[in-house]
Amino acid sequence: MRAKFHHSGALILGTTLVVSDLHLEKGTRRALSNGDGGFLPPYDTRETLGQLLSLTNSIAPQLLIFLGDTFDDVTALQRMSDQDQAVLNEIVFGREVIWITGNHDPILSETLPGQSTTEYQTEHFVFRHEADPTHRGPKIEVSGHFHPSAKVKARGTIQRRPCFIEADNRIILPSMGAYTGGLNVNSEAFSPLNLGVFNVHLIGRDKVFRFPMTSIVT
Amino acid sequence: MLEAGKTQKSSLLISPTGSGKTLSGFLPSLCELIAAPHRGLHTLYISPLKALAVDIERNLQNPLREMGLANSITAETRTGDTPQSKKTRQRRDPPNLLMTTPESLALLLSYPDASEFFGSLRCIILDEIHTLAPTKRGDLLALGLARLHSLAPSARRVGLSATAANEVYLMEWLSSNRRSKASPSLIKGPPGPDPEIKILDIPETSETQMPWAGHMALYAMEQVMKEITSHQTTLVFVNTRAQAELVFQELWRLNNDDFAIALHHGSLNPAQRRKVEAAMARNELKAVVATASLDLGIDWGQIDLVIQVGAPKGISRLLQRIGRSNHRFGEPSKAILVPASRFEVLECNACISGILANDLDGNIREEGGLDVLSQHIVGMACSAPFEPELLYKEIIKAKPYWELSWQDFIDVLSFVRDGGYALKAYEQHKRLVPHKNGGLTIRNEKHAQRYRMNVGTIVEATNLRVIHSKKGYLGEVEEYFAAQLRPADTFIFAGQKVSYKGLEKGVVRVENPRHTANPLVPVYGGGYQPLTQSLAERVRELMHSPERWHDFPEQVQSWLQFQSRKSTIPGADKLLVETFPRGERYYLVVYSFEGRNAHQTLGMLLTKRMERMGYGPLGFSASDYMLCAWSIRPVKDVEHLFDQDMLGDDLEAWMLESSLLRISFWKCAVIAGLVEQNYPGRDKTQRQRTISSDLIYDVLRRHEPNHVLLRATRADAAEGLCDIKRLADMLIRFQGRIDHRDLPQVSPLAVPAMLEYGRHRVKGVAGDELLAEAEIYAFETELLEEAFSV
Repeated sequence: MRAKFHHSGALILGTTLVVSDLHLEKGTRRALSNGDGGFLPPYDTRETLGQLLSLTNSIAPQLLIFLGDTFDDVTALQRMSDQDQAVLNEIVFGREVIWITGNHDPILSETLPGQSTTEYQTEHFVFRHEADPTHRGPKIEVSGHFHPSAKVKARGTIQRRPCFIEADNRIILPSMGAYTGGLNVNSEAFSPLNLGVFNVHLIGRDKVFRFPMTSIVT
Repeated sequence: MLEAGKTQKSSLLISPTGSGKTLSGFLPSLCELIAAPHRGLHTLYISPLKALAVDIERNLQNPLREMGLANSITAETRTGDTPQSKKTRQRRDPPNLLMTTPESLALLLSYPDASEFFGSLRCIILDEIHTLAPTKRGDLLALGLARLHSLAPSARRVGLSATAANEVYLMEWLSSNRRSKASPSLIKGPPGPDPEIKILDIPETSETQMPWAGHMALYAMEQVMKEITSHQTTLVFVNTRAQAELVFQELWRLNNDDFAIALHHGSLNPAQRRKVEAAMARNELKAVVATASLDLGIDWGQIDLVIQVGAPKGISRLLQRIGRSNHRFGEPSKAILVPASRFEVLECNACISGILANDLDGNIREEGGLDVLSQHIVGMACSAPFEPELLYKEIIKAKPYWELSWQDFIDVLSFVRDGGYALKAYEQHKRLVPHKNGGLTIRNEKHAQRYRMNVGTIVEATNLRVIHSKKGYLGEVEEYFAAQLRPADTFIFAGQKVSYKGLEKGVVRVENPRHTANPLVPVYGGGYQPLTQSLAERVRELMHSPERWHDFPEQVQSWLQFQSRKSTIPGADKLLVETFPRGERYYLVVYSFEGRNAHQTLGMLLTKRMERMGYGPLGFSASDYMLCAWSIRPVKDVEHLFDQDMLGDDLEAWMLESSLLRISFWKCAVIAGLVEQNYPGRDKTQRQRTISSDLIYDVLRRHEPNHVLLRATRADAAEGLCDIKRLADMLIRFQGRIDHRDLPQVSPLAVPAMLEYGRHRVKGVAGDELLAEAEIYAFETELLEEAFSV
């Protein structure tokens, strides 16, 4: 089955849609944890869910997999506005949903429909939040967590974008959250994974651009 | 001045530097204090520079000691550099005369003991008011003055200003009340003699090639050294900190006579700066290389020459700096200008004629920033509970906020309280809460602490401390610079070469270097001054007056003559636009001389248009003199590109997308306290913790486009950053009068643009277009490598 890399940051596998690291309610978390002001615009959830809703409306997947860190922390769902919660409900309505837990959301609310787990296996794929360095084939591991991004030279300019990593038996998704930053694929954090030879798929405005790792600049 | 003092009236004293302004400002206060001893604070002196505050204190202590009054009249300084123990003691036991800065004043006003501390205040002296008033710093100060007026209504104000073009504006700014009855009296000092200014005379040999671009002017250092040698004490002004370091290195390399030459700029260890200032005061230095950190007021009588390295960018600014030499009234000040590039030769010439014609460029700031207002409101809440209506009435007494509407005030108050969003996400965490006795107050000490750590309107990229293994704390560099260093990399800092060891807990560790080849020099963002409008006018005039070119160095003359042959000289009534191909790109150069800010806006607008017209723009670079844009396809229809309506829809669209606006947003967000530069326990290397302000900006503008912070951002963009009016005037003036030269190759005049720093990458379709093209080639290369591998 061909993996389709979508410019929203989502991975499409037939009738399954996979998204990662939405970090919902990241904007409001600061006010909670520090308690000293700095009220960031609380619209990142609305922005991220809005994009996801357009996606599910146009693709109409049967199975929706969240690869973890869907929520920025364990109380995020309660904090979400009613309007945003309604959008989330609309996104998951009538589909099978798998919620992989992440380091930010190790515990998921029981009110969420579908199944929550640390790992999900199908015939050809294994889905988890963070790539396992010891993973070997033949199944393809699909994970998130790292928020990868890459820089590529293009006619004397340097273009930097969030990206998918497509390695021999791994795929790492970029983060979808409106307030999430990116980690350069050259970073040491990726070394333990021994990615080997891989391609990156950079996210553009309405298209994804594929590059071999040799095109990546530091 | 004494008369004004006796009648307790506020006054504005305008007088050239060296005329004894500052002392006359203090005279009435000293008379009062001698006549009747005073408990607590009597006179507050506010200056824009810490160095100046320190120097004034020194200048007061000497006569006080000589008169035997040092015990009965106390004078002290309070700035960001004052040790904490001294600060605490000052609040308990204030001196009679306190020298301070606008930021330190804001802090003092934010303490619960503010009304006690300032209750006895009789006089406020505001120095160099012409530089402070038309800035955000001036906004913050004006708000502080409004609060002081409530705490000490009878305190009179004394404004001190060098000769300026905007007297009425300064008088209004100084007044504590809009009603004309209370307006300050204007006192003018007699004008001084004309300064002696010339451009550095460099014997033209093949070695001293005048540079095409750049701002460092290192080519001229040998001659500069000669001038230093033949004068008693020289003040060498440069425009940036990096330049200060490089010029200092170069001068020491040429310093065969081992003269005492010192370095002074804003990122050096404050203790080091104080040492240099003290050495200057004791006549121990032959020369000091300094940035704007030594711009103002300091009275060093023995300076007999000022050298300005690099074009001064403004007539008044140069006058200010020149005023530093020959601080004896009645004697002309002596100055030498050192242009750093060929264009700068024109600028320096224009500047000199501007000074001789007394053509001063004065700034006026129409409205105060809403971000500054936010910061002020938090400070006031920390000091005492307030009723919104009363606070509003106090605020609108400050000139920058005369026209502040009640609605805008409420919006800002709302922002301060909980972010002011339509989506009420922070109801439970409000920063301002009702006080039991009425009014609003700050929620808790944590908020107050955070506020106090971030007072000010100067927003810079994160700075990291640099600590030398043997010499201790040297100063600060920007995080951006440190991030690119590798162990054993050498760079120049604090006047010496150092070797990078590593980053440890947010501190840059350095040691003596083993090798000194190719050292880097730290570059700091911000502090850039664009060419002023009146100076730009003069430069443009100079350009198309060939009869005046004989004053220029031979190299500059031949450059201009070459330009006449290959293309043409920019005319007075036509806008010269050149297009030519080079490398794999097509260039468009516009010679408008409107200053870098206006050019940046023009660049954004033009490239947006070029995108729509299908030319595939990639980027542009803007200098004070011209704009250069490059694209994948050549521009055919230049007239259409400059259509007047560009400012309407295009500007709106650009405003929403532009990277310049993002920077503006970030600065407003920092000043308003939305994101902070310093918070307790912040580990500066943990970038993952902070959310990029770019992302915040994108989300906010998509979901609440009229949020008060975005309004503040747009106001900044419209006024300062983009010089919209200048741009509009220019576009109108040249409507239908474009002189388009399509050339087969780069023109002589365009060479500086090609070499210019400060390039702006265009985030647009072209970026994706490039990726598409690069994608095809990437795999083609791979394929071929595979097919032809051995």
